[in-house]
Amino acid sequence: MTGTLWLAWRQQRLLILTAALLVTALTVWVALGRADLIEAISGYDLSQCKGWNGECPPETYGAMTESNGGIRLLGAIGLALPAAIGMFWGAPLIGRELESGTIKVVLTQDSGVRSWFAARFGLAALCAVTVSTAVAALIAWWWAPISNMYDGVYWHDPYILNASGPSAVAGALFALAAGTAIGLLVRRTLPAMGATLAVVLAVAAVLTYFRRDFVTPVDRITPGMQPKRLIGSAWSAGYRYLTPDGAQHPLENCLFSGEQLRACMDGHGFVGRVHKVYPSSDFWTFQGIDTTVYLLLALALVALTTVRLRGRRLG
Amino acid sequence: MNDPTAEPALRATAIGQRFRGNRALHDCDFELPAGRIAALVGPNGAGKSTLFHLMTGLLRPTTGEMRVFGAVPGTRAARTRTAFISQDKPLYPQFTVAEMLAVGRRLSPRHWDQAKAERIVGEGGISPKTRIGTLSGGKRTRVALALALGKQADLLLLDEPLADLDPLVRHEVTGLLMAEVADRGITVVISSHVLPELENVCDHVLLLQGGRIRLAGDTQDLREAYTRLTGRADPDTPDGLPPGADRAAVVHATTTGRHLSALLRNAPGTSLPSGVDEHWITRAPSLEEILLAHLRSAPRNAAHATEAAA
Repeated sequence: MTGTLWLAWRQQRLLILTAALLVTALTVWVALGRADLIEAISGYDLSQCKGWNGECPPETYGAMTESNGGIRLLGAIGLALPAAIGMFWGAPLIGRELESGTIKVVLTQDSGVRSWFAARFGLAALCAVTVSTAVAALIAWWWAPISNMYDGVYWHDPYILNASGPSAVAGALFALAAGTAIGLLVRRTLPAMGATLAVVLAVAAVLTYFRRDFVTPVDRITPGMQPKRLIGSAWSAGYRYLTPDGAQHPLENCLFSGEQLRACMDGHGFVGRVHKVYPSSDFWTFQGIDTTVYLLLALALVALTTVRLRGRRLG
Repeated sequence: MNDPTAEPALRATAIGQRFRGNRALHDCDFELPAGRIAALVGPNGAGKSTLFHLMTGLLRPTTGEMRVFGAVPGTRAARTRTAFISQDKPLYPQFTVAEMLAVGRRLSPRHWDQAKAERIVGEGGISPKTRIGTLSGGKRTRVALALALGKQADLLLLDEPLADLDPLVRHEVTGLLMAEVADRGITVVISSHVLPELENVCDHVLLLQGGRIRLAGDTQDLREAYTRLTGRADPDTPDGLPPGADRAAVVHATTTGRHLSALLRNAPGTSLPSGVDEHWITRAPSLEEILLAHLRSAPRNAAHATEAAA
């Protein structure tokens, strides 16, 4: 194992150095940005600005809004991180060895394929987890003082929901496993990188669009024409009208306000309005879904890789 | 050397290999006793590299089985006794020569001989600090050879190691191999599509053609099992061969004008083919003549029976 670990380190040290530099640079940037933010918002009462529809005074809003751009940019980096790890770390992990034929040198030594794969994938996985944890934590740390503030970055934005928390780490692991498996199957680095990018983006897109189907939103019901409760930090999932039997009807039935709305609601026999929302606590529900899916996929891909390596056609 | 109870270095039993429905190898049976230097000869695409990959365990046969000193290729027992240089001689271009040797030292620590590996590299005038990527083809072969010989394996598998090397380097490399054989009595399988470069070196031959073993055996036995026949073609027979010659013993015959030249298998227990008298010029063929005659007589269909050496 020590020999294969040395080889893994020797081959990945450039990537590890690059990753370390990236994390260091991001940490410095975030530390400075966050210090600026803390200084800017000191002395303001931010509680008024919590959630959408907040009664946020312009000065308070101005003080905290400057950091939004930085947080979004950092979030975008966090969003791109899994794809980058899959392409540049995963795809060449076995793919380049097959392409250059060097796998034939390595796998005819005393140490076997199991130790070779365990060492290089283990080291890569450790680095992927470390880097993605660091970036996810930096995002959360910078965002925390102005989380879910009026017109700012909300928990359900991809910058936060996809790029921070445990699901970001699981996503990086999945991307690494996907790149590794694709490299083994495609046997060429460049096509494997392209395929990895496509797969990682596709899975992220599917999760983003379909994960809400697995979570039931909370119904906020307002009887009659009473003013609706403000959305706050919740994530809107649409409006419905309510009839006395408890059934809900689509919003398209009455697209009016004021007196016209009253007439329309009376005409349809609607007695109240329903606002379907995901409260901010659902952040952890969504994170749980993403994390579970990513980890299961990663596990399946690693299993596929080990099986394919053992039932070899490596020459 | 030929202890009959010893495990053969290689034993292939009914090996068949398919790639996406294409048959690369079929019904390959052969045995290579330990201590031999075997030439694996065959035209390009005959399946030589596939056979090497089966010997190293980089590939598993579709049917049949391969054994290296009795062990399944790719298992630890077989891996520690085998060293392999594949045709493309892959090395890590970003590594220095010293780092490349460290791959062998750290991944094959069991019998690794660092001094020998360094000597082989040093004798080629290669500095350990040189990057592999900057080396010429000949020097790269030398590093690959140092990596394989440093492992101190009992079976050395070399897939066309001499191809695209200039004659001088070719001579050097052959010298290195022969020194190793003399030193440690190892078994070597060395492939080539050109026989002459191996004829003086090997004492065993495997002729592979169209995915089948056409001929396998000791080179001396092979030479004694055949007779080369030359002379005026017999005007009374359509093929120009002597009327009494056993046609089933003919491997290959050609007539150029009135001149006949043929290779015939000797009658069992004799040094002449049956039906050939002293009017013909006969002599023991060279190994190359035997192999070429077999290659030229290649049936276009694959249903030709494997010929084993006497």
